[in-house]
Amino acid sequence: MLAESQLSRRDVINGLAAGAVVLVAGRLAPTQVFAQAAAAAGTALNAWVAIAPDGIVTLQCAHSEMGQGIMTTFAAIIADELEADWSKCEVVFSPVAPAYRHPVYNWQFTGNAESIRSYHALIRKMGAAAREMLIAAAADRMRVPPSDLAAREGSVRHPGSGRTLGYGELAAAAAGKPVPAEPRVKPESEWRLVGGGRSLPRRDIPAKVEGSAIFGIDVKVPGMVYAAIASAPTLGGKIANVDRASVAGTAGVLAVVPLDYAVAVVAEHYWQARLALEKLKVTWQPGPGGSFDDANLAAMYAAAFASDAGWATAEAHGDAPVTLSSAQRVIEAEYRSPWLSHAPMEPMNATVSVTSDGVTVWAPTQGMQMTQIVLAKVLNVAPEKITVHRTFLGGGFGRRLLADFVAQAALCSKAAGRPVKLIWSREEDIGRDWYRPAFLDHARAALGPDGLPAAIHHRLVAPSILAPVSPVPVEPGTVDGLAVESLVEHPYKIANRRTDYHMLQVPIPTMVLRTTGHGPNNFALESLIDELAHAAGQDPYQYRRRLLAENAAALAVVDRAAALAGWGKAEAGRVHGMAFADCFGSYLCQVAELSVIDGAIKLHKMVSVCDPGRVLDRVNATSLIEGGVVWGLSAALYSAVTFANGHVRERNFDGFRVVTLPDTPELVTDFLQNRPAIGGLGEVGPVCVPAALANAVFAATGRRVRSLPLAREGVFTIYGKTFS
Amino acid sequence: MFARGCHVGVGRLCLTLPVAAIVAMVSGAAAQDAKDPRSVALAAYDRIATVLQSPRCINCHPRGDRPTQADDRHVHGMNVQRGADNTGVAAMRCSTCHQAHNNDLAGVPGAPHWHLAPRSMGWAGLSKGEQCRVLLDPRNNGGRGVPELVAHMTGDALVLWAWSPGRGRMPPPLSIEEMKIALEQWAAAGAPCPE
Amino acid sequence: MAKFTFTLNGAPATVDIDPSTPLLWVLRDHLGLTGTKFGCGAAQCGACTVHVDGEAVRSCVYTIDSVEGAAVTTIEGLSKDGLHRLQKAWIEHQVPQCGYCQPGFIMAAAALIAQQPKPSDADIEASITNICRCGTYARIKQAIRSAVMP
Repeated sequence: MLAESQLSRRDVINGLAAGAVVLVAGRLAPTQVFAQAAAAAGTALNAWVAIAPDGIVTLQCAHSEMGQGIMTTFAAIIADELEADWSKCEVVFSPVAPAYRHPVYNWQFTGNAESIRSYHALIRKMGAAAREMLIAAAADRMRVPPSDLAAREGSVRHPGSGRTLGYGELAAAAAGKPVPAEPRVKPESEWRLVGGGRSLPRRDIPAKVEGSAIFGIDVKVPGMVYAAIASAPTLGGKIANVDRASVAGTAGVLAVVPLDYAVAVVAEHYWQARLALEKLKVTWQPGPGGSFDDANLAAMYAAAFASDAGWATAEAHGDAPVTLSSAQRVIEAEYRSPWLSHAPMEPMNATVSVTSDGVTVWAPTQGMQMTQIVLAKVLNVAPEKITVHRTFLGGGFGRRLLADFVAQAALCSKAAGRPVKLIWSREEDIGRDWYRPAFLDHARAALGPDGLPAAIHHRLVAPSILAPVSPVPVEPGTVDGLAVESLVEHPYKIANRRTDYHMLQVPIPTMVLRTTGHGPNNFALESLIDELAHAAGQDPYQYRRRLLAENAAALAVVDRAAALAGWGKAEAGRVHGMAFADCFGSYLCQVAELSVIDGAIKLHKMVSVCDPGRVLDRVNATSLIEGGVVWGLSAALYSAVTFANGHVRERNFDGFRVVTLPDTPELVTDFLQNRPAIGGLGEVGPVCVPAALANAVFAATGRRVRSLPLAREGVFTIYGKTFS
Repeated sequence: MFARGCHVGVGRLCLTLPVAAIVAMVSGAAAQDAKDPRSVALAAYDRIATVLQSPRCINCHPRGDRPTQADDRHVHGMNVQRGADNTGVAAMRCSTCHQAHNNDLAGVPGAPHWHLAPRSMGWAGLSKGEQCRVLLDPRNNGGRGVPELVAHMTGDALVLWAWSPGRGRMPPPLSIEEMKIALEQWAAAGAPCPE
Repeated sequence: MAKFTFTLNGAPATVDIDPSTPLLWVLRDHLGLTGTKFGCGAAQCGACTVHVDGEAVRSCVYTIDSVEGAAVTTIEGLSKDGLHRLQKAWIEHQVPQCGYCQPGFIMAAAALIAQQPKPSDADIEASITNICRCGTYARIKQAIRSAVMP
């Protein structure tokens, strides 16, 4: 999301200004910060650490746990600095409160692979500050200077005398000690819980295999009833009429709730609500796009591309157009990525209780602050009257940054006068998503005499993906910073480069999806680089090496991936395809190994090498990259939504296909730690998969596929062919 | 008369039937020389074949290990496999999803003893004549003679499901009564097969 | 409405309910067992997998009228004494990410190894057709393999 230069600036802000401000805020207004932290038993030393008399430490996780392991690693970072006994640490999801906001954006959310990289410096300081306050309290009790004391595994010890005081005994006194302005964070050599190849068993996993983990859909609240919902058959369509009499007397029905573009039924039990919704007679008026379809959309993209208006320049170095106009050799290609749904395994749902005293939400949300703000607006209630409890998320992939489904649940609760759990069907989930829009990148490259690109000019047409999740407006005609990611500011040394962007207006709700702009744009850029290498008669791996020659960390990633894959030494009948990315503050290189059998591809192996600066938990990091590979395979091979009659055709997993177990190749994953700053992981794993795969398909067949998903272009896996 | 077999709510689908073609075929068959039992039987078999080759029958009579599904006869989702006993593999039995009755809200069809026909009764892709000979061969059909075959095709609960296939699925092009008449005509003349 | 009686995780259970109600919602909404998940409502993803008389069943499409007199086992009742060996393997291999689909996978895998104590990779690929959007399939395969090792 942010450029390298911005990252370093942000790191400075993180480590100093914002950290200090939050630290002070945490001390000065503890009631405000802890008003909602019901689970934080004991004495609070700051917004992140509370310690009970029995020594149990409660650590606040600002982020939502959606499978990225954040509640373990985030808490372990604090615990490590705190020198806490990990076995006595409990982790809770923090309230929605200023102390837990993103240190730069001043906005509390979970996404963009930000949870570690943007909070790391801050929470280390918080852990260290609490540790120093505990040591100061122990120094008082033992009547020794603090410098004579050492904190370790939940106790402060005086090595000279062997005396030891547990954190539980010290917490109350420690809370009264002054907050150190610049607490000493531990050097990496002293880390005991994170980094150094270590891994902690994830805190959430036992409950998740026992079936006791509470996701949003599992919330139970006294007096709770259920709602089912159906939205208009065309996107943006609205209710014309609801015939309430059509469900009069239907078992369990408590309320019919018209919601402008959807209608909900509230009933004692969920299935009663579903049955009533089937019976309910509703007439609809069409949306602003009417009965648009794929052909209309294709025409809109083509018209936008042909138009001189609506363009903004996202990046310009040197003069790409001039270089291209005088170039001897120009390679030109168009790359397309499809419309995608998020389709996390847990369909959208939320439980809300609206009373005259206030609003309580239990939701699987990535957008905690968004939820609070949206509900305040929809219900006309002050934000501080809205308490948001977070549950586990059954996947998110960005979709849960929005609060549309929470607002619907709130309106149902208001109408029914009871706490309501609203559950979307899968058909609603895929059919009424905020979609990752199709991307159309027209790229032109000039090859210099050395075969390397002297200029690249991208012209990208895509609707905004940032607009609905941005706290500030994103205007048409400007650059959506997320939509152009990977086309701009990539580390390839190319003297003349330019990216122009046209923010297309479409009658379809659009937003970010895991991989944000990097996903579609990396497919375009890395397919193009592969094409240029072949056009220059050069090996694609060596070609990338030349373009990265001045970037040692990036080179190391590409070299390690090539070595692990055995680049150039594939066994007979097998080929390799490579792609590289600089995304979310991390480098990634992936190499796909496949063969072609009976006209279908057999994916044998996917090698991933990632440099996220620091790997804090090796097993979890591997899990994120490898799961990301599989997620990327779905996007590369099968997944797409298409439009007919103003709506999405695909409504469940029979149409919106995703990869299953038989298509999972051998996964080989390694990490390097050369980047100076800590980077993201949660979004990274899928990024290079489509291009690596398409490049391998070219190596195997000579066919260049420039449009995703591959299956729609007739490229099937052996397993995929069985249902093609 | 062909609309009779259509499930309520699928009238639009029924319109997509090649009604005119079927009417021509059936009336053509009726015009056959009544004195030539073999011609009558072969004409009857032509009508029977429209049923046996309809998605309702052919989907679960694959020649390989993967059934097909729905009116467009796409390969069955969820990687469904035949298994050793034609009822799926461990943890993916037919009964993992199919009950003894349709579930129209979920769109999952069901009938008693839902299963695949054995591989020996694989019909997908066969011509009318080939299918007829496979059908009649006791080595393929579980040792059934013609009367047992007719009884199976007119009385088995799973076969009869084809005429109440649930929301979103077309029934076979003949009604069950027409199918019974055609089978009787065919059987009466010794169940001849077309070339 | 009609009354249905069955065995749930070894104990008797009775519900008075619309016969079209899927077993999934009976378990989650009426009997309070939320370990079984709703993923697709169309038997496509397997998040709702439970056992009925020992066979894997996708409970989101399995209406309660088919459960009369049967023995139903959910993730909560998979093991009577501590964790099932698959659950232990799942923890050992740190399989789940978001975890939402995992009870369904574990129930499907439990049905598989109950019937085929030594499944081959091909058996696992044919039998485990559930969907995991986090992409944990590789670790699921490892966990099943390790759970059936002597």
